[in-house]
Parts: sequence; structure tokens; C-alpha cells
Amino acid sequence: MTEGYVELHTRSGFSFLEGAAVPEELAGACAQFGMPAMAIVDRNGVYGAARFHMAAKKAGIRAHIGSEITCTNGVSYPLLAETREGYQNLCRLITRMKLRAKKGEGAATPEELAEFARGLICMTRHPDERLLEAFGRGNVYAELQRHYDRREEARNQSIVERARRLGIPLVATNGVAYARPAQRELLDVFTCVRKKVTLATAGRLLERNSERHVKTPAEMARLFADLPDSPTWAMNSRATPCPRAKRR
Amino acid sequence: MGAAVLKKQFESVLGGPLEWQARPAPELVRTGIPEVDNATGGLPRGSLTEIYGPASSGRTSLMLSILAAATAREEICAVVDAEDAFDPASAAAAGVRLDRLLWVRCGHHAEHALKAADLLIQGGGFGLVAMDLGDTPPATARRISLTSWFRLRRAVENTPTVLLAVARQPNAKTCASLMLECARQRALFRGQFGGFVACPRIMRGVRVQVARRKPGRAITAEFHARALE
Amino acid sequence: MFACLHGSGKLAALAFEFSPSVEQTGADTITFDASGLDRLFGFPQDIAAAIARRAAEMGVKASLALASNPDAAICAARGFSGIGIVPYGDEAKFLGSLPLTLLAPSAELQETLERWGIRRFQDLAALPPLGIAERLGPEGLRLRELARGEAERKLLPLEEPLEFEDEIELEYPVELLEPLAFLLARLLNGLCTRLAARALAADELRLLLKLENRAAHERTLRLPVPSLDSKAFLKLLQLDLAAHPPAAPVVQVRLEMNPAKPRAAQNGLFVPLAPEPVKLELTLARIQAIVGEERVGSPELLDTHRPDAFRMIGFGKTKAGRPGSCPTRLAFRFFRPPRSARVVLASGQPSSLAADGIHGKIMELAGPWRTSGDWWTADPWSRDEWDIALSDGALYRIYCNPRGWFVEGSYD
Repeated sequence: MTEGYVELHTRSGFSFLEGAAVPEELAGACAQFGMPAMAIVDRNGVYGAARFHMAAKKAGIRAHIGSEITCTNGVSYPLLAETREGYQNLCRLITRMKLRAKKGEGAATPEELAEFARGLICMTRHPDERLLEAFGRGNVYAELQRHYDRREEARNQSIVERARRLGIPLVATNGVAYARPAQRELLDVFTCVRKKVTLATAGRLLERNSERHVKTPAEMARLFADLPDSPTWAMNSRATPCPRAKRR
Repeated sequence: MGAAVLKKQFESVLGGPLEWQARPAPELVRTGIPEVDNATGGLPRGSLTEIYGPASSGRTSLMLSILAAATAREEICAVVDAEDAFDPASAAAAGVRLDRLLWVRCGHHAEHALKAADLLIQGGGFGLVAMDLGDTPPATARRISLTSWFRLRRAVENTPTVLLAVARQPNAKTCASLMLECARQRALFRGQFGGFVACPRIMRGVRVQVARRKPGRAITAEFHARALE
Repeated sequence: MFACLHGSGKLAALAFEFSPSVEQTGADTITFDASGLDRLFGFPQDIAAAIARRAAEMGVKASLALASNPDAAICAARGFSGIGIVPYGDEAKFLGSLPLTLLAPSAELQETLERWGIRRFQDLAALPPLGIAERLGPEGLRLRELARGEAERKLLPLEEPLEFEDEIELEYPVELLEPLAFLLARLLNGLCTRLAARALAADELRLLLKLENRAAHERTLRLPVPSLDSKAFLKLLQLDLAAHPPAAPVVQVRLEMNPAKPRAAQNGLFVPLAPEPVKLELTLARIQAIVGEERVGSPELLDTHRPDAFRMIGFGKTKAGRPGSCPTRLAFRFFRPPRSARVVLASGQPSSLAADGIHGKIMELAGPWRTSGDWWTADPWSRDEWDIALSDGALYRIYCNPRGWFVEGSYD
């Protein structure tokens, strides 16, 4: 079972000021822990895809490409490209939303998400019927993350409840934002730069702990030991073919 | 003319006999928990109310709810904290407006708490003075003489202040106008998700039973205190 | 009626205690309007006596004169030492013996008069006005009026300095607070009366004590709202001095008050209950004397993930928080300081606990909840928390940090 775990929610440094590791570090950690693959899901773009693809090739793992798309309803949805068409759709979606906004801004409407949904897998902490309609049953997963946080665990419980009602499978990720625990400090500094505050005044904008690093499959299995037979692991091992990111 | 005759004449003019000695019933304030309000009617102003129960029986949750309701009425409240146990974060989460709250930290001196509560009541103007002896060892709390409680009761009489005492066991005896006993029914430790998946490892809250021991016959109420998530 | 003070010391301050219209006639001369004081004190002698008494208290050394017009009073104060009361209608007679140089005529005029042999007030006063007008012009006429004590004019009022301070120098050093309180009461009463006379109140009291060892002891009390309650002020100062006693016997007491507009607000009938600000201040000071200064106030939560992060701020000094209706929350009670515990682990999770006054088997468990932060400071923290239900029937929060296991408090 532990063999099957793939980290599907990783932000690299190409998510401007929201990730604290370069793709090479992430791919390296992944290979070191014996993970067969990893998905890079940068914020509103596929900026890190090319470098991650090369790094993954070198490290001998497979690279999945996705992007975390900000939606106008205030939620952001990590989308993974399952097929080549999915990758094309993702790129078109990003182009559409970026063209009408200033640099660094922009959000997709729910309608646009539905328009470009083919070939994409949506992971979400806000599962609802509209998503199910847009992406189709089997392509929407309810995402659980566990960072040793009370609030998050309470959220997880309501996500599990909602997912069960909707019949949506679960997927476990770690919402990785850095490769090693020590890089959390860098992320804290990035957060300060992004929010234009100092470390001393940032307060609760900073990370609560240093758990958003790349974890070993064994560690993840232990964290989600109460959900061993749920479809979590099925999703993680779902053969997401690698879209050829090198295509220009 | 005797007083009795005068009284008779008065009564004949006003129509019906009068309760000459009766005091007006004290105004009752809400606790912020509808279940408890329905059962007890609320807390009387100008009197001592005792809330007691063992540790983790929901006494402090009830106290914070009362404080939240009082600060929402724009009243100034005071917590006289004998054991330095008050958690401002819990209070804020329960809706207590901290800017209207005076916190007196007595640092493990119950007698300081009594003195401070006395001074606060004498000073006047507080909507609620809560004396928290919740972690005071019962032996220490029992050593507080009945005279001290009596003094407090006299001080608060005819003022609009609600005097609240939270403790492990009843201490004030006859001096308390209202006594509420808290008991924990159960602690909820996990989500209730049937057989699908078990989501363990989270404390969701506590079910509290509040019983009115005085005045009148015992009435119980239950409320749920949600854990901070 | 006008009074004039001629001498040294704080003449203006003395004058302002008796009258709002005060003129700084010269560097060492102050004239003020004393009309109306008769209703307060009675005869002019009594007024003079009251002013002289206060002058002695304030350490003012000056001659004092009362007259029906300002210039007569000025001449009398400058000409005679001690107290002089110029009788109404007999000004010329009273001032007659004074030398004319007192009026400081121009050098030319002075010479002319000297040549005529006119040296005293009475000499000039006796001359016919027409002749003076012909020979000496308007200046001569004015001089004659002054010499007869008949000149009428208005005072040039001095802007009153809004300084409310007073001091007492002690004849012998005072060591105990009790006798000091008497002195403070005297200062406070005086200052409060002065403030009240100007419809002002104090919002800050500064007490400066000069000590025998030449050190200074300074205390400042800030009031939430301006007030004039001298009794409350005295009690506040007493409590403050009891908490912060001077290091050596006191030789001089100086009290300054910051004047402020009194709060003029009429409370509505349905305004919620609130303590009277000055009374509250007094209550707080009394409680502080019992439990310690830093232990009374309003808590303010700090913006951090660090557990139990708050600071105490003075009551009533916070901004209004947001009101909100919240569900009934499970409250937490801290053990301050946390109790060190021994915890037995079973497969990585705590299974039983023993601490001061708390021990038992862990029946239910939620956790670990991990927090860490402040890594850039000298005081970083990192801990794992568990919420547990113990076999003794209570719910606790325990945590483990590099220093070991602790019970942080209980849920209640």
C-alpha cells in the first residue's frame, strides 16, 4: 500500500512567494523517498512544469502536471492533467483567465472551469454538485490533508461527510510547499514579502508548523492509517499519464 | 390613629390588600444559553449565584457564555481569577468582548480574590462580577468563612450587579440565591460517521447538564459546548 | 476696587487666585481688579489680610495696596511697604507724601518740576490745573491726576497661564506617608479649587518629591476621564505611593495637574451599567495594592500561533472589540505555570499520565496537534499537544516540548 503513494499536491517556487523549493529539490526528495511519481500544481500556471519535467526525468520519477486554479467564488481548485487533452484545456483555461487580468491576478469563473474540464482531474476541499457536473463522476476527488492541526482535522471530518453524501472518492495529499522541513522558514519569509509585513508583525499569517514538506510514503500511510481501504490510495496510484510538458 | 387603621384605609383606596414587606423580584439576566435560560429563568441581579461542579463539567463554559451575554449588553464585567486560570482566547472565541472585561489575576490566593471581589462590588458599576474559584482546592475553598460570603451578599444587595461564584463544590450555602450544579454528560471525541470511515483524533465538545439546586425544585437543562476547532 | 502687589515671588499666580483680570504693570508689580472680593471677605482690611495670608503661604514677599483706582494702588504699593489701604476720596491726602520720581516723569518735565521746587505728590496736586495745562501740556495734567490719585483707566489684562502646579517646601524631612498625605491633601484642595474656578478638571497628576538624598521621586497618574475629585486623587496618590514609596525622606512636595475640559455628558436613562471612571480607577488601585500591578487589566490577544499569547493592558485603554454572537464554546482553564508530567507512551501515543495532583489512564485522545514558530527569535517554540480524557473524569490538554511533558490545563 505504501508503495502506491504519490504526492499529488506540490507547489514549487514557481508559485510566486507561495512555494519555497525549486522543482529539482522536490524531484530529488521524491526520488530519495522512493515515490514513483509526483504532481506539480503551481498557482495559476504551469511555470514550473518544464523544469520539473526535466528534473523528474533525471531523478527517474514520473512527473504529473497540474495547476491550482483560483476561481471567482474565492476557492482554488488543484487541477491535474490526466490526458493530453486535459493539459491543453488547462493551458487554455489559464490563458483565458490571465489575458483579461493584470499580471499576477486573474481568476476563472465556474463556467470556464466546466468549459475546459475535459481531461482534467479536480481535487478539492470544497466538494459540491456543480463540480461533479462539470468534471464528471470519477474525476472529482475530495482532498484531505493532515498537518497536525485541530481546525484542519475538523474540516477533514466535514469533507469526509460531504464526500460520502456526494459519493466522491477521497484523496490524501500533503499540500507540499517545500522539500525539507527547514525550508518552512523560507516560506515564512516569502509570506512576509507577499503580505508586505515583517516576521515580527506577520502573526498568524505565518505557518503554524513545519509539516508541508515532502513526506515519505510510509509517513503518509501512518498519517492516514484510519483510511486504508478508502479509494484514497486508488487515486494516488491512478495511472495519470504524464502530459508531454516539453511541447511548446 | 394606629398604623393598622392607616393601612386599612390605604388598602381600601388602592383596592385590595398590599404586600407591604414584599421586595420587588430581582431582575433576571440571560446566560446566553437558551436551554439554561428556559430552565432557570436567568441570573438574578443583586444576588450571589453559585455555579459548581467537578473539573471539566462545563462550569467555565457556562461562565464564559454568561460573560459574553453581559458584554454583548455593553456591560462592564470583571473576572476575579483566584488560580490564574482564565484563558482569554477561549473567552474571545465564546464571544466575550475583552475590552469590556476586567481580569484580576490573584495568583493562587483565594483570600485575595474575595477582597478584590468585595472592592469591585463596593466600587459599583459592574454588570457582572465573576469570582472564579474553579481550580481552588476544595479544602481551601471551604476555609472561606460564611461571614465572608455573607459580606459579599450584603455588598451586592440592592445593586444591579450579578455576582457569580464558580467553584468545585457549593461554598456559600445560604448566601447564594441561585445554585447551578454542572455535570458533564459525555465528551464527544470523534465524528459520527457510521461505518464509512472513522475520523478519530478530534475532541468535538462536551455535553453539559446544568441542574438548578436552589431556589425551588430541581430543574435540569442540557447544553453543548463546542470545542475550539 | 483695585489691588497692587509690588515685590518678588510669584505675584501673578497669587493675583490670579483672587481675580481673573490681572495686569502685569511692571517686572515687579502686579495690579488686579479686586472688586467683588468684599462680598467674599468683607472690609478692605479683611481682603488685604486674606491676600497677605496667601502671599505668606506662597512665599511671596511684596507690599500690597488697595485703592479705588489702579494707579493709586500702584503708587501706594510702590511707595509704601507692607499693607496700605487708600481710603476712597482721600487718595490725594494718602499719597501726598510720596516723591514725584515714583511717577517716572520724562527727564525734561522732571527738571522743570525740580526747578519749581515741586518734589512730592502733594506739591503737584496743589497746583491749579489750568496753569499746568498752559505750562506743562497734557503730560503735566496727567501727572497731576496721578498725584491726586484720581486717574481712571482700565487694566491691560494678562493672559492667564493655564498652569496648575503648587509646591510645599518642608521644614524637616518627612519619612512616613501619613504626614505626607496631609500635605498632599492641602496641595490637591488648592489646585482643585483653582481648576474648579476655571471650570476645568484634571486628567493627569504629576507628583514630584525631592528627597533628602537629593534624588527626585516622580509619579504620574493618568485618569481615564478628567475629574476634580480631590478625595479620590488623594487616595490614588496614597495607594500609588504605598506601591512605589520614595527611597528617602521627602523634603519638598510638588504637585502638577494637567488641566482638561471636564467631560460634559449626561448619561441616558437606558445607557448600560458602567463604573464611574474615577471610582473605578480608585478600585483598581486598591486591587493592585493587593494582587500586584501587572495583574489587573484587560487581556489583549496577540496575533501569533504561540499558545497562551496575550498581554495585559490597562482597563479601559483598549479599542472596542467586535461584538459577535458565538455558539457556546468549551472553555479552557490554564494551569499557570504548566504542571510537569510523566507520560507513559504506548505505540507512540500517550497512554497514562502522572502530574502534581493529576494521574490516571488516558481514556480518549485527540492529537497530536503540532505548532512551532518564532524561529527567527531567541525564543522559538515547538510542541505537540494532545487533548485527553483522563480516567479521573476530567479533560486535559497535555503537551510535549523539548523540555518534557506538561499538563497545560483542563477543558471545562
